[in-house]
Amino acid sequence: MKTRFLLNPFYLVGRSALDTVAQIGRWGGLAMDTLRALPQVGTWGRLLPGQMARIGVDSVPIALFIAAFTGVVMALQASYTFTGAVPLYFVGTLVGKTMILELGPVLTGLALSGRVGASIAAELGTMRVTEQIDALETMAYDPAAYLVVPRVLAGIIMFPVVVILATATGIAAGWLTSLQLLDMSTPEFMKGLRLFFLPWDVQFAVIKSLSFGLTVTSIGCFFGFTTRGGAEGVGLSTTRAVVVSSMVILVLDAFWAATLL
Amino acid sequence: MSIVLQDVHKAFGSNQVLRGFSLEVHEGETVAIVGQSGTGKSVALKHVVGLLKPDRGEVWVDGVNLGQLAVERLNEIRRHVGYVFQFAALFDSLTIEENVGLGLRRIPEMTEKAMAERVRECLALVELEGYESRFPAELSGGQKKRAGLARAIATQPRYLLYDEPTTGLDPVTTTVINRLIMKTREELKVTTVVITHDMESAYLVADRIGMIHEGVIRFMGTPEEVRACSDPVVRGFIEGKPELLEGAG
Amino acid sequence: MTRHREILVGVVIVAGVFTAVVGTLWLQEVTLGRGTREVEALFDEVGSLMRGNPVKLRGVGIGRVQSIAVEPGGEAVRVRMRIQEDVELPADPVVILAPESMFGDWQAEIVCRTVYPQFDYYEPREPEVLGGHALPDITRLTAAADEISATLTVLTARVEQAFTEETAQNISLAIDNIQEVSERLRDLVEVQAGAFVELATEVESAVVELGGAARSANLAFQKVDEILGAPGTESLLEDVQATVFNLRELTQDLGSTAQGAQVLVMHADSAFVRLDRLMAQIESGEGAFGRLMADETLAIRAQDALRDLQALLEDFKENPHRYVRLSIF
Repeated sequence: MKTRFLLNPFYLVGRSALDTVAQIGRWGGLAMDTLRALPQVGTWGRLLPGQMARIGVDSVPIALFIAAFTGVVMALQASYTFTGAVPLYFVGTLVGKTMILELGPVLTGLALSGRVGASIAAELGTMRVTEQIDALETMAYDPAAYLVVPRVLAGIIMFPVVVILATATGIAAGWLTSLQLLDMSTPEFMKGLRLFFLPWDVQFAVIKSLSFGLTVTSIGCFFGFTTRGGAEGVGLSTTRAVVVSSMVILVLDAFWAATLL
Repeated sequence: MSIVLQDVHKAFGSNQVLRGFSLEVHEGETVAIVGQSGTGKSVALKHVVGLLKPDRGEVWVDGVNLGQLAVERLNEIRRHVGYVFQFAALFDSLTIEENVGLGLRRIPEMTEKAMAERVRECLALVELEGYESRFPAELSGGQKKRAGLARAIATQPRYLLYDEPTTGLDPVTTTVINRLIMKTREELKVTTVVITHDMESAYLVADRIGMIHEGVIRFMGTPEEVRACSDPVVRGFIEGKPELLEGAG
Repeated sequence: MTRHREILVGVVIVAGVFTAVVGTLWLQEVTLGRGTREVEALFDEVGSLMRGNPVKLRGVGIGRVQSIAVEPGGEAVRVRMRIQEDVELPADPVVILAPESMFGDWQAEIVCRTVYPQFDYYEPREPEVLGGHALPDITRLTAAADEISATLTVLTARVEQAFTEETAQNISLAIDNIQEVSERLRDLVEVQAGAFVELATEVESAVVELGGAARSANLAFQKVDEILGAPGTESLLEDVQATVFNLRELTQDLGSTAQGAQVLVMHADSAFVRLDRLMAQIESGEGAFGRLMADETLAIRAQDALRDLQALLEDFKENPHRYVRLSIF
């Protein structure tokens, strides 16, 4: 009888909806704790540079790698698409606009949700199941101040930096590709690049990556904090952190495009 | 009358763990809480440092009711409480020295030099000199427990809580840990609560032993009284006879 | 956390901020160190101009559009442009906004007013603000072309109305009549040839009138090539040719029979020459379509001429004496 009840589709939908809402509520709770922990600079200030190095500096190579290849592919595909009707300098426009507005922030965000979000969730999840977070509390540390704030702040500060470097790399890769493989000249590429460029594009990308940094780190922290049940639980949290933050990144991406552009 | 748990109820979802748990630990006394795994020993202990909040009932530490405390006041109480976790719960990313010194950083008047001195003292007490720059992953299980103890006593707490201090250790290390518990009690004059399912350990270190069963203290007494107790549940646990425990259901 | 790592964090942050700031400035073509100044211009409207579009002088980029705002009151649009300080603007400068390419990117070009005097520039009241004009962009040109073609359609319809089948039939009928008349005249002349030395002066005037009618017909026939494609044209051509042949014969006869008729023959001949030329034109297919397009009243005039000619011929048939008052009657 009980299993049949559990398989009832209405029960399943209702249950998962309630679980999702509860999850968001718990995330909000952690967010509040984190905000409350912000004044404890003495606790997190010492840890911030380390997290900035781990979240930001260590992510630079993978972000640049992804961006460089994206830039190459964009340039090639743009020239393939533009054959004939559209002048080739539009390759520069397409590479520049797309890298700055979309691919730079989003691809970096997605890559870092795997790299940073997963590592945060795994680290904090392990700390949770091995009672290290409890231990912190018994030593009168606020876990939000000690663990969450430095990671989230590092994410907010470092994501835009990584995204800017990645975007610049992507555009440079697109330029080199245009030069070497498409027989375009540098002035041609630059003309296209500058054609529709607005400083606001860069600000938009920075705002986007700020939000992605917040998303990836806070979701990683959240799933790490709420980990239950040993190694398996840590694995589950890690997976969830990556999946959920990737989804939220894409939703936020659409949200910013709809509200800010 | 320094640690008091009064009629504490605690449930996790539909799992009612504590059902009116009451305990009094007097100043300078060592109390051992014994019981089967999963009966709520650790849950009860976590209430003492405010890691868990009771659904119902009250928790008093040092004459203060933890239920109504702001985090800042709770943290003040926590500074006087050392907690030795079951698996030491050392921070993987910090060296042993940093782990032990972590609690000291919370004390405003502490200088770096005094901190280093205190860490050295604590490590000497648990016989871990020379391990300062090691990471927890490089230590054995027993060494981790000792490092965890060093961390717990570093802030010179008045209360020490041990969560399964001897579980999973070989007999020799178990003896070492038991001796350490007694040594710290003697040297630091701390009020101690030890959670264990190791009766030998309980007999050795405790002034009084409480048996937890189905979320409440089933029996409380000195080691002699426990040995003499005729309650089938207590007898079943002490003698390792599950049929007695089930019979008492 | 070693010192090395902290330095690395610093390096990455500085690199990121540097890239963002310098990259933005570079993409905006802001030239640091070189001074810039602001130039303002007012327009009725600015087409698809956007912030950041290039400002050009003689085709050379000298700056960028800084801001675009509708004036309070909404009567004009004020465009601020930041240009290089050392660039000297031409005398009486105006700003022309136009598409830079087919793909919607616009530019603001500063030119001397005399370069394009035909444009209707906005005239600002402030002396330091330039006047400007926005060229229609490609979509608006298309719209204009649409409008022109619609007008053409209307015009063509009107021309078609003027040249209905009825008109064509009238022309055909008129030519038939001319042929008939000329045949009768020839018969008459043949019969009377030699018998009468002198022709009445009335003959002259009659033939002159005939010449006038032919001239009108000439105008009308200029339209005939319009309906060359219509069925029945072939026979029409043959009719006209026959007419010309008959008339010429008539002229020759008249010339040989009466010396006094020399002058009138010359008159008539010129009319026939004209008719002949028209025939040649019709045959070679040369069109008067251009003139027809330019002057739609032509069609109406042609109709009038035909009506005149018809009336004349009718009158001629009914009262030949009024025209040729030969003594034989």
